[in-house]
Amino acid sequence: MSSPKKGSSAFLYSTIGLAVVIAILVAVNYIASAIPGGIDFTEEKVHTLSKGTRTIIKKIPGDESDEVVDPVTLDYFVTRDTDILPTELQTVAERIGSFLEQYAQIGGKKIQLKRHNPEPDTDDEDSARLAGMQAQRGARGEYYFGLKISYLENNLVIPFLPAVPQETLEYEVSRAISQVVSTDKPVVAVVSSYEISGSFGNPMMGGGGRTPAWYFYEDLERDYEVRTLADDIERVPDDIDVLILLHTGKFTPTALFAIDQYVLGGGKLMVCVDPLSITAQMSKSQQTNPMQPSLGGAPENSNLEKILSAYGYTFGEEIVTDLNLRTPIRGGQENPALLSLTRDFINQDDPATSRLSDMLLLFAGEFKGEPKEGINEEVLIHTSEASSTTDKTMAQQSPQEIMRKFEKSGEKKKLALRLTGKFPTAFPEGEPENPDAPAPEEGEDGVADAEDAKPAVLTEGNGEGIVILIGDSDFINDQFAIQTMDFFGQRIAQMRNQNLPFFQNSTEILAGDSNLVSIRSRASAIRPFTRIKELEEEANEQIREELVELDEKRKEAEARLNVLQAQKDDTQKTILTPEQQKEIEKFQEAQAEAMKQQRQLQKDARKKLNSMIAWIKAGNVALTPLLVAVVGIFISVMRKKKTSAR
Amino acid sequence: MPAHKNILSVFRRELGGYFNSPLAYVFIIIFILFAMGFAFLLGGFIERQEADLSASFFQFHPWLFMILGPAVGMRMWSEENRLGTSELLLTMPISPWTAIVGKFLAACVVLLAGLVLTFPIVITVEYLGDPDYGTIWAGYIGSFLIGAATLAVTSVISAFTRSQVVCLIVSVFVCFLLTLIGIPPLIEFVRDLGLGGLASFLQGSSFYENYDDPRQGLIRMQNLVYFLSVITFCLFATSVVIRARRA
Repeated sequence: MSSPKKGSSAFLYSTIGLAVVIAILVAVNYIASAIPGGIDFTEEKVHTLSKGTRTIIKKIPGDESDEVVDPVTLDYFVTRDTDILPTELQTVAERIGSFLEQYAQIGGKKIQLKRHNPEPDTDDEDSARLAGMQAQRGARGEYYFGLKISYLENNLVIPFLPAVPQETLEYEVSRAISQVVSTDKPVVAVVSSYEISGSFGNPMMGGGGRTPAWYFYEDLERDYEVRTLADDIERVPDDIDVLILLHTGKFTPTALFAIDQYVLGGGKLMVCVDPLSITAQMSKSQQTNPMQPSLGGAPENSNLEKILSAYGYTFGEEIVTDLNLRTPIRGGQENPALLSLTRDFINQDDPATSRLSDMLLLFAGEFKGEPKEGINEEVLIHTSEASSTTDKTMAQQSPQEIMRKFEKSGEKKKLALRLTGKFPTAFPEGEPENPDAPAPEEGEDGVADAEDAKPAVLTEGNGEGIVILIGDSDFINDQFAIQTMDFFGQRIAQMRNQNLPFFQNSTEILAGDSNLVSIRSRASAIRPFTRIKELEEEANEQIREELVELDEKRKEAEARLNVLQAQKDDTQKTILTPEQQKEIEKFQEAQAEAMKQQRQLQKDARKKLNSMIAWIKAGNVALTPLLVAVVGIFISVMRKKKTSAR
Repeated sequence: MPAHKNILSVFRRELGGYFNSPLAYVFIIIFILFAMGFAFLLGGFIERQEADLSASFFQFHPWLFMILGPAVGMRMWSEENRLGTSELLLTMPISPWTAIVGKFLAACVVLLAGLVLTFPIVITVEYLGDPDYGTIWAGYIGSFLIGAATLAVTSVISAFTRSQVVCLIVSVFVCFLLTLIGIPPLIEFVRDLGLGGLASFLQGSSFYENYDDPRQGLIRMQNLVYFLSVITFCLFATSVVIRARRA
């Protein structure tokens, strides 16, 4: 009985046995590599398809059990030849492959994944070209790496997948699926004093080139039918789903009434108002030629007083500053009027802002007041309690000056709000008279018809309305929201912060598709060190009073010096009396001393923080090794004692 | 005696061997010093200003285990070979694989102790920000798997030799290769030789490549299967070598 067992064991534990084991393990690994996905440990499930994507897939028409369902086709073109596809893209190609596999798995019959291998001189290469993929030049030939999403007649193309940041890939693919499936796009109308849709320079003035459209505007055009409206609106057209007022000039009463009636009729409104527009200032300073006629340009500030007050709010003309939200600027300084917002200041429970953790508002204003009855308020972005306000002139001066004069308000200021509910009218007295409107008695043709067609004046909302209020307009300016970079010869836009996602989310909420919101918000959840900033703030807070006191002393000494210099009479043009000389020296010393002390205080505060960081480092590196050494020595001593006792 | 009891008794004896000598303590101290030192000095843990350990802390673990794994495991069989006790061990009524598994598990515990004692960095990251614990867990699991794989490699090499030093040098070299075969310059070189298929195979067989996903919070089936395969193969090969030596 034992000999066959011995024989088989001898076989197993031999070189041949070893080879068999290797073969089995290689096969198992090969099979395992084909299994897409994995266990996603991350809190935000960044490696798993989100609920929003699942809902979008569910919305693809057709029953899953239906045999003749029209599927959404994902044509994945990637040149698999490892000699051609650059090494750094090979893992990416695999990852994207298994990522797309997840769509096909969840979609069942509704989604079909077709993999193509467009190697040179193959049919697949022809179909890649026809599909609109961009050929990329690699070191050893041309390769393709793109995706085509199609449904019936509609199709969308991502010509080069690596150009899409990894964390937004799911959003891009799901958005494309949602777009090819949906038949009509929501209509978004924008009113703005900025040239958001781009403009042509004046060739006579040497500005022949075209200014490109703002990135956010181009992005809107991908998802919506976008229209720009002039600010002399008489009536907001009925087919507009979302109206965006971005830093508008002064509206006429008729235009305000049109906006009011639009909201009451269930229209969705987004308002970006600004106490100080950097964009407007920048475009003014660019008009270097004084002979050049002013093109009108954007106003320095904007407001929507009448409508806001009807909802219970006023928009502050002062600029909000916050010690906890300071933004580093040139020269190692930090400006408290440029607000760098982290997740603590962005509403994490709201779909428009959940998981956004990095925004920048520039010279923003606050919304004061409480909502009128019937309106619900959701604060989307707020400051910390270490906030204050400053006037426009001061805000543009040195940040140090703002810091010195800083007085904490102790309240969280509201920077962005979402209002929902039944809105009251801002025109309880009825429609304002329009001086420009043609008088009916003139008896022009069509006037009577127009009068008949005029909708009834609404005095309160006839349904649930949504209004989003944002206290800044510069945040979606390309200069502050994105940066363009060159990637494999292509210009791609990369987000500087999450300002653009915030704007996109808000638009999507208003346009009614919140599924995409949940997907995008997953992207790039940065988790910054909050403690170091807090500690810095605490340290600054402690020395602030002393700094102000010293500053006053310094100024007093300066003033006294000026007085003394002025007291010299004409006969002593250059020579001072010993008393005067002494007094001047005394104040110069006092001034120098005050400045020295200020520097010392700042140095001490920095030193304290650095020392804390050093202790953190030392504690981490040395604490447990020391403990282990002590335990080891203790055990060894005990053992020696035991053995010597024997 | 049932196999698991045999494994347990070998495991206890080995674990005692580690902790009754300075070896375990020295390993743990060096591991923590380097892991933390790299995180703070090379990884820029503070400078990154991000409550995340994957880039600053876990990134260096493959390189640490490449040297420290063999340092812990080198005595597994070399010592027994030198003293001639491996023959004695195998004449006992226990099968060789129970001894192999027992020894391997004891070395794993030493390694695990080193990893667990890096806990101050988790406390620090919690103190400074709001970390994602899921990613941290996955990082520790990945790190443990890569450490266990280096121990398994050391196990088979230590079975070949009587000298711990030889075992250390060869094991470090093999682990170094296994870590390194995934790096782009090497893959590029292999591709230049016209061996694209081999290049992909090497990339998929690298420690580093299979550790990259767990480090970022995703444990794929292929990563798990890869590390378990390396461990299974090496322990099996250890048993083949020991049997051959006995014969």
